Amino acid sequence: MAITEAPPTTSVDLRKVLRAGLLGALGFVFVATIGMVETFSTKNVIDPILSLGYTVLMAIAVWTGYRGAKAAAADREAGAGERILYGSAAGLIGGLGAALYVIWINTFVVREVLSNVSPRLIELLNLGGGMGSGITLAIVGGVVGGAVGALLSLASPLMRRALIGSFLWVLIVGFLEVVISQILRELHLGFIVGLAIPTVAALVLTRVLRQGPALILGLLASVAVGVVAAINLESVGLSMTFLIDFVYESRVGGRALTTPAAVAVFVLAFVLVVVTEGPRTRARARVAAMDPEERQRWLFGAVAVFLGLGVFLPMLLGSVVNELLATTGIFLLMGLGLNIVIGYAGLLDLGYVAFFAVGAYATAILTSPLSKVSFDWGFIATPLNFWEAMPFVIVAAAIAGILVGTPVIRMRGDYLAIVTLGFGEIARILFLSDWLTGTTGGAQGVSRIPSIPLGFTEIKGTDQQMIFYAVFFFVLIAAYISWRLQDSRTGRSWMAMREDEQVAETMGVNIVRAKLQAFVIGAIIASFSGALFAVKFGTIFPASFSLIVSITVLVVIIVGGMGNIPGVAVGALVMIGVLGGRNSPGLLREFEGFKLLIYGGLLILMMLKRPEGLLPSRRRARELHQDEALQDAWLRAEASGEDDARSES
Amino acid sequence: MQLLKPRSFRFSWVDTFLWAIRIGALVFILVGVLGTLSKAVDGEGLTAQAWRELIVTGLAQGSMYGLIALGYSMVYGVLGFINFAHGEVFMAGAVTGFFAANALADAGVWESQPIVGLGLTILVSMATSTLVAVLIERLAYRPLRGAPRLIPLITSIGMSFFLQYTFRGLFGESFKSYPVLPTVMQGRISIFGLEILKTQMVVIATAAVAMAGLYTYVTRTRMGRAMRAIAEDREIAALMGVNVNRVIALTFAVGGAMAGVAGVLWALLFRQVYFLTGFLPGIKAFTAAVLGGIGNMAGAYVGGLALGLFESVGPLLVLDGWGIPSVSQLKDVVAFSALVLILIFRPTGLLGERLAVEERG
Amino acid sequence: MALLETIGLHKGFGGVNAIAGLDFHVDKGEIVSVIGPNGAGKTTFFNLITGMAKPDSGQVVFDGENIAGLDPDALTRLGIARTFQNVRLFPNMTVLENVMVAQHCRTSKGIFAAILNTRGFRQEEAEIEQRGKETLEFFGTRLTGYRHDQPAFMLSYANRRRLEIARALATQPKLMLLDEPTAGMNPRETAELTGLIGKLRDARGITVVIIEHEMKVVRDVSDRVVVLDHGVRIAEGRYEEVTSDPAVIEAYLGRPAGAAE
Repeated sequence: MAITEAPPTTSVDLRKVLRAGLLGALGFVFVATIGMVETFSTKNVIDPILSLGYTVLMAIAVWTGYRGAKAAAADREAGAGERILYGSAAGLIGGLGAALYVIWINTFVVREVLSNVSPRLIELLNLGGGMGSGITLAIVGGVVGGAVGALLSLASPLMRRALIGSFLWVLIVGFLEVVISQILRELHLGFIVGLAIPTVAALVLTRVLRQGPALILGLLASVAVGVVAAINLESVGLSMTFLIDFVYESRVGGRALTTPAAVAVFVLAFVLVVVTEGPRTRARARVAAMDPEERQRWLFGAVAVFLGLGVFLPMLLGSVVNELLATTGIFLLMGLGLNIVIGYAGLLDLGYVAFFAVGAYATAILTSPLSKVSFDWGFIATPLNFWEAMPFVIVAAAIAGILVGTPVIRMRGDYLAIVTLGFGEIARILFLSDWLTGTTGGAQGVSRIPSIPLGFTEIKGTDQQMIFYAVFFFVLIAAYISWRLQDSRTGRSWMAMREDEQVAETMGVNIVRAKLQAFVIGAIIASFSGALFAVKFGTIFPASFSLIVSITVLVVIIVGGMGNIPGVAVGALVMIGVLGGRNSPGLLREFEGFKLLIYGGLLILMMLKRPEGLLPSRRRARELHQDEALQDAWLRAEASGEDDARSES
Repeated sequence: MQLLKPRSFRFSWVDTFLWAIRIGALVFILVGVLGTLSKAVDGEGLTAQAWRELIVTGLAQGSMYGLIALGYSMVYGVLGFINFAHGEVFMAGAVTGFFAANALADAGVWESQPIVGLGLTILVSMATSTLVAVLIERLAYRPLRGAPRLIPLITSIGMSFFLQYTFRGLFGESFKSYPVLPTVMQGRISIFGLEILKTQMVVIATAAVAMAGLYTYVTRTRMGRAMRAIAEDREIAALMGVNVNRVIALTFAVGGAMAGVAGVLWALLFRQVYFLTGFLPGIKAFTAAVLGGIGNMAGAYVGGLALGLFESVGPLLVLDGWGIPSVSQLKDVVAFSALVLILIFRPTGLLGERLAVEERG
Repeated sequence: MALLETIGLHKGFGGVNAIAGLDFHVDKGEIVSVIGPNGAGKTTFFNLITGMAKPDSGQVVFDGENIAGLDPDALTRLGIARTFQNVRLFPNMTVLENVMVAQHCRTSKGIFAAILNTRGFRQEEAEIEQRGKETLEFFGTRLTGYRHDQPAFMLSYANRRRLEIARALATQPKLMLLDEPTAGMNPRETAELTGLIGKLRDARGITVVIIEHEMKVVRDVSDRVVVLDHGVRIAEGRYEEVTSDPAVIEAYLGRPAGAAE
């Protein structure tokens, strides 16, 4: 009997197209009403034509069209014409919704209730003209955006990735203006030569010599030569400042890309993505197929590069960017600690800021000459210096870890989360209280925290570059500790505990000890972060130690990729670098007001779509997509003709 | 067969620590109370009237915690995770209630017909809170129904912040003051010889009525039975023909409605609301739910009242006796400590847990 | 010499007596099967012995020591290991990692050694890996080679059951408790496993207690059979004796219609 295939459905699910359009309209209304469009319009992406505000609206339109076209093409053969039709239709529906909104805000004064619907917003949406031009813009923008989205859905996955990627690169180069201008300003001939010599030497020597003392000597020698050359050539000058004015144009709201530069970046990125697609896939396959030995070497190589960047980049970047990097580093350090508590051991600690605070206050109280706590034991007396205080800080953090960890040992996951959150709040309130003002300074906090002595020099809190180096140093230590613990007896016991606590106990793991170990290590790492924070700012206030810090660190490791050291680094760079830390705004000042909105939205989005994070460890991705992993394995087994049943019985 | 001597007392650091906490807490509380009593005997400290007022304040605050706690309790009982965003559901009702109350005040209804005015405001607030609750379930929680426990929890944390800052974006960050109370609701009233604020009476009464209504609904109606069935065992309930999705949405809706009522009541007592109003009460309401026994409706209400009392009376009863300055600053510490202690002393709560089959043990 | 003995063991859950005065013993080197109708209390019995539940009263004596009330990890260190009725592996850990983590209580290098990467640490890690692989070889080639790095959730059902046993074996126990080890296996797999159980005793000197429903396995592998019903022991002896015991038959099948009360 012939097997009949189910006939392809021929009618388009119009509801889905309608839904795409409505969602687009909703997105438009949301973004406009909460004030994002207005705030973002002060930042230009491409000068002078494209502001970030309009970019967001455009993106919504394109996305609507994309969804509409996808809906039309679902389960059926859909030609280009059809897709464009339905994509534009979805865009039109969205545009109509947006137009209605424009009419509404033009006609009625909603500002009393919706306070961010300001005259400026109305002006922006009307494109300077009256309501009519606003309506036209909404509808036309919707349709055009929809068509573009539809075209996007037609493109091959590679094309699509290239187009979207190139656009993102334009945004990134625009946003990173501060960094790039700074680098271009500092980048002079001497520096380039100084970098080039060791790089070339490394490439040549690793090919020619094998691992061993000769190779290491050769590399060190080349670095030395490079440094000497750089210093000597420095006076020659010849920097790249001229390039800055070509790429960026200065405007009232800050610098943005010039149109020719934007086009250039777009084209360049597009070409690169397409051209390198083949080599990149091959490289990825090679990495996956590497045996552990080879992978170790590449890992060391990557770490070396990272180290190099960490040492050299701050020299280029100037104080503003360095401060941002230092803040990023502080959060990265906390992220590494929380990664051990949540990522390795599976304990959802929402009160992590308490350990951060303990570290900061311990450092401050012991090192500040203004501190109300003092002791004199003969060989050691307050005020201590940073390094003398360190052992005390570590002990204080360990005690805090035990105090927090012990009561929660037998608690269920959710309860643990809330109780630790409570502990975090208790810590903040206690540090703030009048009761403990004698030690902690209450609302005034502790000030005049001194710099870190380093023998011949010192790391002053105001010297952003040196602070960054200090933070970087501790980050390396924490990363190393994390890395070593992952593949160890302790790391395995944590993993087992995370998988199934009862069974882990039955397999001989002492749960109490395992949990306390996780809490204590996490606490100690956080206390390092707190200590550096105290030195950096010179004064600490209880207000700095709120729940938001705990949540920020949580977002960093979740968005970046939990259980995974590079992932945490990526998370920190993205979240803090872009969106800004506690006291300093990130690269994009405009995001400042929407920081927590974006955190919340990102958390939700990540959990729904990609819970393993941006740069997940293979294990974590596998964990969270078990069905797909199983299917992959089954398909691979089928393909290689392996018969599982054969090896069974 | 000879009877062997059983292993003598097994030394466990954790158990010793926990016992130390138990005993320490009891001693701390006792000494504090004694200190306060001795102060009273000396003629310092608070008057009996002041204590009575504290108790009433605690009950009023606790009633609101209880209403909000219902939402946490029901969701935890049915789905097994803490809906962090429930505090924002409460806030949503309070904030939109503000606009309704303002409109009513402008129309004169607020002052001339206070019951109608209040009723309408509560309706608006309830509607908003219910809508928000159902929306977040549909958009963020339903897709994650089978996921490992950590994930919906983190989603709800994200949702909490998202809602807070959405409301900030929509309505601005300033405090919103409800219109002045209608004259009939101002001042005090004497009940059973106790003098309490009229608003406090309204709050306690309204909360009790809402609670009673909910209780009847859950125990008497078909939908209520379905909710309890799902809370027991979701799979079996589905096999018995219960539309799980719809009932879960209903659970969120009901919890949201209660939070909406609480929103207006909060405004009656504290007058000002803004986008962060929901944060602390949310956490405390969850504490209340655990205090009373998670999954247990009566427990949520009782827990709420208990927490309100602890928070209100605790600092002055216990901490003051130790001579700690500015005890009211430490109100929240008392609340959180109550949570920790309950989870150490009696993890199933005052009235016991009611959880789905797979959550137990 | 009794390796494990329970005397008057009692355990109730909210009014229901799961175990109501159970006397049980197993001698060193024996293989004992525990059978009984559903709800007889067999798994509860295992839970009590392994510390996952604490008895209300009674004694549990292992190797001369009263162990009632100890935590599971302490019991594992003393030499008691178990498998679970519904296989409870660590699903996202690899096969090899599962048997490596089982050696936790037999190894000692902690956090400091790990961070400092001391020679002792590296040596111990190598030993753990080696011993893990050797334990897996107990099952022939099924769990070896490329399977070492497969996450446990990818294994077939029978392999998962085998891994569970391997994991228990890796804790270097004196006594192994297997809870329905052949449930869900086909006849060939069952027969193979039966042989392996014997090997556990013969090659490794491990005393084994098995909960089983599959009578063929019980007959082929047991030195002695113990029958539980309603939390007490109702019969004990060799397979033939026990299966013809009227009390046992009544427990499983009920009383014949019309028979005297």
